[in-house]
Amino acid sequence: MARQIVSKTMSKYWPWTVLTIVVVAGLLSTFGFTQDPYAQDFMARNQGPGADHWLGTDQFGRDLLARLMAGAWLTLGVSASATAVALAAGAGIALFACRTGGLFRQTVFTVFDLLRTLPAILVGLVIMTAMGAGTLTVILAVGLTFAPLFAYITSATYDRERVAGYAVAARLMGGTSTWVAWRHMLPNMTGALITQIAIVLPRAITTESVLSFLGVGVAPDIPTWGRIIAAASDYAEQAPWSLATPVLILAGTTLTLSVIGHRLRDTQRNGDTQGSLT
Amino acid sequence: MKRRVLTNSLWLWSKMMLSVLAIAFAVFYLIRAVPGDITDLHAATGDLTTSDQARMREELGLNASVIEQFAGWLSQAVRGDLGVSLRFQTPVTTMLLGALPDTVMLASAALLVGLFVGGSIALLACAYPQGPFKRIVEALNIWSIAMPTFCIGIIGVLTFSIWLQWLPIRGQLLLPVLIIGLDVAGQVVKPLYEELMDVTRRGFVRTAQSKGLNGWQIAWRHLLPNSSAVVISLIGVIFGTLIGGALTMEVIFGLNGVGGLTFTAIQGRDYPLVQAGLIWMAAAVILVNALAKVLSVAIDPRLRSAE
Repeated sequence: MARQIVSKTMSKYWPWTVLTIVVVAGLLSTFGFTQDPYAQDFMARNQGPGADHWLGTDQFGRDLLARLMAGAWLTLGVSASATAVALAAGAGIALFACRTGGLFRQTVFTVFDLLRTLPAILVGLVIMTAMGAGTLTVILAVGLTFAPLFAYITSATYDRERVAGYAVAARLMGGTSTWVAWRHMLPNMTGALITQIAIVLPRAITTESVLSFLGVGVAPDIPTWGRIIAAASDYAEQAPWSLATPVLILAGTTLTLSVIGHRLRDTQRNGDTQGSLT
Repeated sequence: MKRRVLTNSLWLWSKMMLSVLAIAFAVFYLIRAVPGDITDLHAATGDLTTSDQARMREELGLNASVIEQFAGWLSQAVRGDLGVSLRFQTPVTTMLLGALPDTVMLASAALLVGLFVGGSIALLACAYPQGPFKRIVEALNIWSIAMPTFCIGIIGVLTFSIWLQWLPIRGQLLLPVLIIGLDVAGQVVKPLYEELMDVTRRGFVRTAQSKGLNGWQIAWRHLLPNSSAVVISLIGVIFGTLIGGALTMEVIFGLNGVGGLTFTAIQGRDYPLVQAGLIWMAAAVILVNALAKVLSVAIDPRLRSAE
């Protein structure tokens, strides 16, 4: 019985625990509780795990644990910013297009359709090729890549909420459609949008990592996980350990975040059906 | 009725052509927005004087406006001439055609693996609801959503090439095919399973049972044809996965497909090659999406009224 409770609690809370660990690791690193992630030690290059460097070192003898912890913060930061860009661009443009309606809405969504059809890596690669590598451009590129995902949610919720009683009432009371959309309908979309954030965030992490891995992402000296992997992959034979660790951590984190996102979506869906039944 | 089909397909066709054009122009424009062109790259290595550089720009037509350059490129592209690679001095069309077989082979093998694995697991989960297969459906699905293919690729190289040394690091197709195939399987398996569960509840399955057909006959003759529409509606997504996956896998495993070629071109700022590669991949995805739409309408009459 007790074991059942433990396993149930485990399966319920493990994603949040993992996420907390990643965030705390990043925080510890920003407040300088680790070794210097940039300090090079040429006497200790490509080392395996040991007492001095718990997870070993990279090709410049930099401490891998410190770099991964700094990377946690950078990777999450870049991906979260990208998701914010996607949310602002996707939801904002979609809300405006829906409100305007007509041909404008059709055109906007044709463009979104086109963007969504193409593989995320391809879109990211095109934008990065154009704007050149850099943290800001990665955020913009990944953000634009995932903007359609927020646009569809917004337009679907818009069409549903527009005919809801409260929106009709607000319009009848003399609210302009922009006001109703902004003041009354947007707050009612937050649930759906938050869920979508949780779905997009892991994909943003993946896309950022692939771009950085391909060398068109963040600058080479910024240790996001993708960059760490890219650097380590040149030394896969000498130091397989230094490559395996960041890859496993990256995959584990995206897996965790995806599980959180899909659980949120399931609860959201159940909530929706219950709401329509009562 | 016939006329509506005609106007519909005309509309779809023009929309597709417009999309391809728009993407081509976007790529063309964006690539030229990068500060520094190929002549700068040559100048930086000390091969060119300033006057040489100006002359080279003129020769390559880099001084004309983007729209003029695009018009010139387009009029040649429709005749099959995509320009000459700046770095290799070979026609881009030849290079792309040379790279195509590798990519097509990788993608089609991965597609077969994906459809086979996804299809059989969905069918097994449907046939044995008590068994472990329902969990495998979920696991495969979350695997394809959550696991970045390039991570799995690297783990694969570390495990099978460096640790166990069963496979060469570069130039083998087995791991890329399996990795992209599993990704495809994960995307197909859940919708297919849900559709199969839905179809089994229909009357014709009971009719088939009372005719005395056994489970496999029913599955083969009745269930699979009825749920194939789901797979076709997913073709667009699947193909996107294949192209994106092939791009990453070709870089990781050092394959000379279209993705790998384009990637090397990006690093060398080889404009004609980069834009041809990117536009080719985008156009292929758009084309297949449009085709999938036509195909699913052709197969499933219910979709016709919705058009």
